[in-house]
Amino acid sequence: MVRVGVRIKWKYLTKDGIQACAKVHTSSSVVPLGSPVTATCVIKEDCPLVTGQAFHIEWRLDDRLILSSSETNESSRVSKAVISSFNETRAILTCCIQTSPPQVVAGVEIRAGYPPEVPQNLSCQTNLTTPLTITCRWDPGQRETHLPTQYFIHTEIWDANKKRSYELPKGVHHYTIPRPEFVLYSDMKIYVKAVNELGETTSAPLILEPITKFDPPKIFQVMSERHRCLRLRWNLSPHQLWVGSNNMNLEIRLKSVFARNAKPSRPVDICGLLHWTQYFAQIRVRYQQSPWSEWSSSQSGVTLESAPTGSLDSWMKISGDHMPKQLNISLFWKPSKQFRANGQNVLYIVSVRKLPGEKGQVCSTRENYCTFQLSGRVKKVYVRAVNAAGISPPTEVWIYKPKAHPAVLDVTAVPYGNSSFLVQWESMVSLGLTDHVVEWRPLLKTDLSLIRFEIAQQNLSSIVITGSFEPYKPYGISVYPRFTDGIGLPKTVNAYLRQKGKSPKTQRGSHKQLTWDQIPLDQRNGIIQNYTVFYWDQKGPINKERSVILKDLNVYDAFLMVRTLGGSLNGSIIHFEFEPFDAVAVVMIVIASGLGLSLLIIFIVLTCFSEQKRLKGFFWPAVPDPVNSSILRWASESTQVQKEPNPIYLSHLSFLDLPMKLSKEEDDLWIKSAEETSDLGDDSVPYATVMFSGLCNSPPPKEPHVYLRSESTQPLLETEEPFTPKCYQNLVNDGMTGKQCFFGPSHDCAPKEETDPSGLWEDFPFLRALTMNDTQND
Amino acid sequence: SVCRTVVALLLYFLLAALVQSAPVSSPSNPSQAFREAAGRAKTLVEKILKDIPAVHTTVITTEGLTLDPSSQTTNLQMMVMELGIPAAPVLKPLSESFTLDMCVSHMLVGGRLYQELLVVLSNKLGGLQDLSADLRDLLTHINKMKEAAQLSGDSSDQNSLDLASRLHGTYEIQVAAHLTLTQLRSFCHDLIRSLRAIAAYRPVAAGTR
Repeated sequence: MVRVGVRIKWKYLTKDGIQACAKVHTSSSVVPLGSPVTATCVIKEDCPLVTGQAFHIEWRLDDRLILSSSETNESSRVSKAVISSFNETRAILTCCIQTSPPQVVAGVEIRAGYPPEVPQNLSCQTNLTTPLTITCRWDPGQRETHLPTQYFIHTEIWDANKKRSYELPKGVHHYTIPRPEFVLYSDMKIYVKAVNELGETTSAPLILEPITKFDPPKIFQVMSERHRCLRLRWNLSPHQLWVGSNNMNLEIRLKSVFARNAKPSRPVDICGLLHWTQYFAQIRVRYQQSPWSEWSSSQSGVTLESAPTGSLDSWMKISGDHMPKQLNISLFWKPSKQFRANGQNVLYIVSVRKLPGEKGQVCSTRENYCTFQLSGRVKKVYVRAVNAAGISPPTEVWIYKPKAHPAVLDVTAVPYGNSSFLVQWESMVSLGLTDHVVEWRPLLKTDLSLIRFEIAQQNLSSIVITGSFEPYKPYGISVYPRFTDGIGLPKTVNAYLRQKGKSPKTQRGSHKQLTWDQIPLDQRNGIIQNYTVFYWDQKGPINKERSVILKDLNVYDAFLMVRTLGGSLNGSIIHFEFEPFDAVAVVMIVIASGLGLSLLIIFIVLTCFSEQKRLKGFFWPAVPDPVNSSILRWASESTQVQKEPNPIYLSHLSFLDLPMKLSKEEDDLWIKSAEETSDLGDDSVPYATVMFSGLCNSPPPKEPHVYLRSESTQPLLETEEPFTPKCYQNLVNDGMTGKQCFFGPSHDCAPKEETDPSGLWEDFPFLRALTMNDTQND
Repeated sequence: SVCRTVVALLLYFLLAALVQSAPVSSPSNPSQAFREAAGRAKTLVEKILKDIPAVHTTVITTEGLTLDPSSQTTNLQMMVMELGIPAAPVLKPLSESFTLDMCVSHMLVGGRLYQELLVVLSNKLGGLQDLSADLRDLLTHINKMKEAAQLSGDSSDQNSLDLASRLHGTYEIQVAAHLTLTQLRSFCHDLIRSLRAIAAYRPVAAGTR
């Protein structure tokens, strides 16, 4: 017995040589990951470690101790370890005998992993450029096997009785089959096998014939040799021209798709096309069921011309005076849905004859309208379209006289989309109504060529008209009812496709009025809804009014806004400054006042020099001047004395110096020079002196009036009855009250009635004379 | 027991005869398979014809050896004999004396000849692999034609060429390659003619043998 290698394995020398002490058996050293592993350790009988002593077997996985079920007895020496789930990719399982130190007697490496996934998405493609090869690829799967896995690609060609398989290097999942290993045009089966220690999987087989996707072919020419047919001359890409003419599928794309079997280098005819139409052709090829090549580049060709076919929609209007002999007819037409021009440069011929010919031709034009004159007897005309290839069948147009029959009640036209209008109308149910014609034209240009029309069938009451409508321009849309015997009266409405505001031009008018010009039709861009004035002063808020009278005498800024259905636009801001008096106003005032003044002057002058004493007296009452009025003149002249003493004259008056001052105003009228009165001499005794201090309307003096008698022998009456009239007033003796106060109205001028006037006269004869004088004056 | 033997033998032969005369149903439409194979063969012949000039240009570098038929053939007759390159069998038009069987057999013989030549030359020269593969595929399809039409082709005794031993030097190799390509080209022209004729030929005999 030899003890060899404490750590490794116990071996012992027998006559048969060195032998291991124990052996570990497992079902498999490679297991699926996570699966249970069972290992059995069998210790040989004659292992020296165990002879003659009790021992204990323990198991270790890498360095960890694991549970084991030992069935140790003297005879069997077998231990079994079970790992319920082996979760590592590789580990060493060792069987040890528990001695001190523990001795490893046997071990085994366990590896775990997964069997390979089925290779997926196997695809092979023939490389058609020299050298011819087939490249195959596949997807090995996502799962890591943790075990070395080999991939093999297998090919089988039945025709050649060939079977091959090629091993691929690690991690390579594609293979290029060289030319000698496949037979052109012979089916071959290709599949991939993946093999590792846990199993092998095979991909789904691929059967292919090694001619697959082609390069796009080429169209050389597209021409038309037969009516409604196009001929394509084409061929394959130069690399693949050898492929040969059989079994090629060609797909042609015009506007629809055709699939044809075709041979390369042979032209392909496509028929069933329209006349005189340009088509763009593209082709692609494939060999039997191989993938299609890409589309070739596009080539165009035009089919041949042919005579026009189909009818025309027509719209006939009679304009001008409806004289029975000659009618002015405007005829408009356009292709109907079935119409085909089938050629270029279509000429339209209007004729009164049904058969084509020079005679009876009324109109020959390339336009879509014609105006001509016809006699009233002609019932219908015929319109034909002509091109280089032929002439179309005629379209009948009946000549209808206009009927004064209004059948359309109301028309509305609303913008609909980007360049259309939805036209709706109401029409009365009338006998013989065949259809309606909706005609439209731009209002700014009045060329006949711009008139368009659309026919609406009998029971329709709305259609959408599409045309080259420009926004912000007005169009007149009319709806005409058509009857079996005539055309009724239209109803017209103006419409705009889009409206926007237009800046108005504002003017400053007279002092408070803002006016603006009406915007001309071609600039209106819409139907004007309203005008709005925005105005504001220096600091005030912005106001807006429909119509404004600016009253306050302030500075203002304002602008005008015009609104249509499509929007509004503001004018420029203008600045107002209000003068208190405008120039015009000033002039007016001056003139008025001048006139007034002159009138007044004239009136005054007239009144002054007027003979009408009454009138004069009204304005200038004859107030006797007390200074120059006298009852009796007491002048030094004796002549005057010899006169009959006129009791009407007042005695001489003299003004004494007054204790109070008289105002100047009083002196103006009544004060005569005091010097005149003082030449009577100093020996005269003043008889009466009338003193007064002011006008009636001045406040009464504080001191009482003083009356002094003038030269008179009569005794002075000291105690006079203080009859102190405030005013110098005429005392009336006949009881006439209400006599005016000469000095003007005064509150005291109401005559007093408490004293008996007749008694006074007895005492004062002079006063009585005054009274009489006054009466005479009247 | 003699009677039984006779009856057995009779039955056996009858059965054999029955079996023999019964139409074989392996291609459901033998003429279609035949036509397909013929079509593919024709395509391959066209490919070979298209590729020969390019291969010749690549492989033959010796001055004076061109594919242009005007000058060469008479000069190199001696070389042909020296190299031991046999002539291909002649493909005559189909007729009573030259049946479909014979035609197809001749095609195969000729094809195999050139294939062998190309294999030998491929060992000495590069650039011949693709052509060789095409020719091999062509033979595959001609074989299919034969199978489809159930033609009895006698695999004719083909003298194995001893070309390899006669290719002493570069010049011999070049001449051999040139001659092979030239003759192959004319053989392919014949093949096309025959295949077109076969395409029009309705193999009435097939399946009724």
